Amino acid sequence: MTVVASIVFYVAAAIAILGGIGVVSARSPMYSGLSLILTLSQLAVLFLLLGAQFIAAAQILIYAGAVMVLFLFVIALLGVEAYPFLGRHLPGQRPLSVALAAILLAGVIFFVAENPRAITGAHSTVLQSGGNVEVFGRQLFTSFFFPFELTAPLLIVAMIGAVALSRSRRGDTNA
Amino acid sequence: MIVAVIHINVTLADWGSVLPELIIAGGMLLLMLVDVFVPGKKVNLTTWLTLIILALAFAASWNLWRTGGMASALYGTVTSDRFAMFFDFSILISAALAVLISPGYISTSAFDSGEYYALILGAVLGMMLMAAGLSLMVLFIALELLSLALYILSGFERFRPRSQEAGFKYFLLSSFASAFLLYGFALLYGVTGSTSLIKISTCLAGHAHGCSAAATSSPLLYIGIGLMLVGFAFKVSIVPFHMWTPDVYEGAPTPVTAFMSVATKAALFAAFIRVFSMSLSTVESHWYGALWALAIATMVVGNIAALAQSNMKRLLAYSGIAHAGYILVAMAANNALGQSAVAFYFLAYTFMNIGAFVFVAYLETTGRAGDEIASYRGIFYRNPALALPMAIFMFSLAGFPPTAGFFAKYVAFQAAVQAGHVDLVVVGVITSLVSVVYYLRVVAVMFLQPAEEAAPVEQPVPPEQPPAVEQVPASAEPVTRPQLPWNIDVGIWTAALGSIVLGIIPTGLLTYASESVTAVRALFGLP
Repeated sequence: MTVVASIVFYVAAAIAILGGIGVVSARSPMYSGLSLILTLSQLAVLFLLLGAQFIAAAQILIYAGAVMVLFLFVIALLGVEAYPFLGRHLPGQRPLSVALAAILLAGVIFFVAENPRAITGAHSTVLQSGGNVEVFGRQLFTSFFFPFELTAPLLIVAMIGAVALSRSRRGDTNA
Repeated sequence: MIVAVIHINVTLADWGSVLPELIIAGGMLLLMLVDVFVPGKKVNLTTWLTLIILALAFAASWNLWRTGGMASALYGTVTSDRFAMFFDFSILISAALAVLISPGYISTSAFDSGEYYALILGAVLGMMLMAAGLSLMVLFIALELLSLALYILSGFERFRPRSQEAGFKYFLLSSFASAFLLYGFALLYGVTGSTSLIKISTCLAGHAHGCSAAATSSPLLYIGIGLMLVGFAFKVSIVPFHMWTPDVYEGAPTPVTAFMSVATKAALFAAFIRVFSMSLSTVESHWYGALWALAIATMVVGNIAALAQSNMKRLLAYSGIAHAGYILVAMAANNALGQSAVAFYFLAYTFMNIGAFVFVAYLETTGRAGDEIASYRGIFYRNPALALPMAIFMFSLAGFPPTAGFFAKYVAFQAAVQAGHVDLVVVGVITSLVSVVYYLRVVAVMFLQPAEEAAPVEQPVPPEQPPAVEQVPASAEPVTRPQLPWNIDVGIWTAALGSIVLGIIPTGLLTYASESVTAVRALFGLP
């Protein structure tokens, strides 16, 4: 890793961790959501450093963009202040979450220590075959061409459903 | 500058092998356009259009059956083998019967007919792809397609709380099951390195390079199989993943319940067989035990719970659970006969189960509480043309000879005996005897003398507008023997005829079923 790359890595990683702490410690769910966006956008930077351009773009577009906007929208629509029970914790939630996070961390450290090649190896193979985006595009338009096309009817059905279920009663007398 | 050229290697023959699916997808769009651009009442128009689209898809499927289809098309993601086509027949017939009985329901519940039929076609598309998918990706997207359409259809009567509850419950629980299935798929992909069912089977059989030698004993494979089993079991309502079934069947609009009780199960079982009995056949020892236990639990719980039901739709839900148990017995046999038995079972089940729902749907649209069994008292004397076919369906579901139900069950149990699973067959026969009690109770109620305080003869449904029928003179109102609307007539007698004919001369269709299984087994290199 070059010096610049390491600096970028450490800065992005630090911001991502800060964002993560913000998600669990913020009082208002709105700030939690915004912190999560911060974390996700920094993870995208880390993906870029790994040469996974497509995943980086998807991370921004789908997670930080679409999914989190939906989250914030729902939080804003519900008006969280009206639901005081949302702030309450389950009994024993704090120690349990610390324990689970520790197990996850131990698992990741164990996995990396066991076979460090598992991370770096894949990296170079992808780069050799022309970069992440090209490999992905090739797969998308050959092997996975048909499943990709099939998402079109899926989206149409979802749209019909959204219209059919959310329309007011007045409009449905023309059956 | 890098110039990347991707050659998409898709020929006309590839598209030809998904022609039935393309017809359905095009039909879905057409119905949406008709809905927008044709003014006024269009229940008749959309109903006929949907029936024509289904008939065209059936013809295309039949043509693919005749020519044998393509073993694998579109980069090996789908197939048009005879196995897929055989299940397509069940799916299309049940969709057509459900559409046939929908107009009455649409009028009384003020549905938007274009959207309703477009969603039905969307579900059919998902189901046909489920039966034809050769790749985990296609299977998952097809599953989402059919599930999404069915969630919406279950809650389509959105101002009736029961329907809302059904749609919402189905959505929450079923999307959870989808997640299980997807996790299982992901682990299976992780172990074998491929999403293609055929490549997965060659990997697990031990002859494929780039595939870990330890794949068959990997703990991830066990976990993946377990998760997939949960997902499939939920979607076909196998005990203990059946809790949603009675509530959803009861709350959903009856034509939708009729359709999904048969076609969803047919599609899911086709994929279930393709994934487990074909792709994972070399590791049968990993999953046979679980399948055995599920089959026993499903037959016992389904039949015993059905005894206590007083609502016809709930009774049919538990009866559907019990039948899933018998089908599981045939699948657990894991031989060619067992798989043919599953295929044949669904064709028989299409007629007898949808027939029973036609009966319920008609009584509901007459405005009386149509799904309480107690309200069927003496219906034979008021309306024999309705009660007689219903009796046939009940006998067939209970498995009396010479009906389709008897023969389907017979072949299923025969396959299990052939595979040496006598224990499953013993439980199956005993629970079938239990089932006779609740099926015959329905018949007995219909043939009882009507109670004195019973309401007068039911009205011949003024709001009912069967498609394109000549206006029945409304002046002849107080008929003593109510005339059935022609669409109910056609639906109920087609189903009755199917239930009888498949029982008297089953050999022809059984040959077709075993031909279809031969095709799919050859695809996976099984004898």
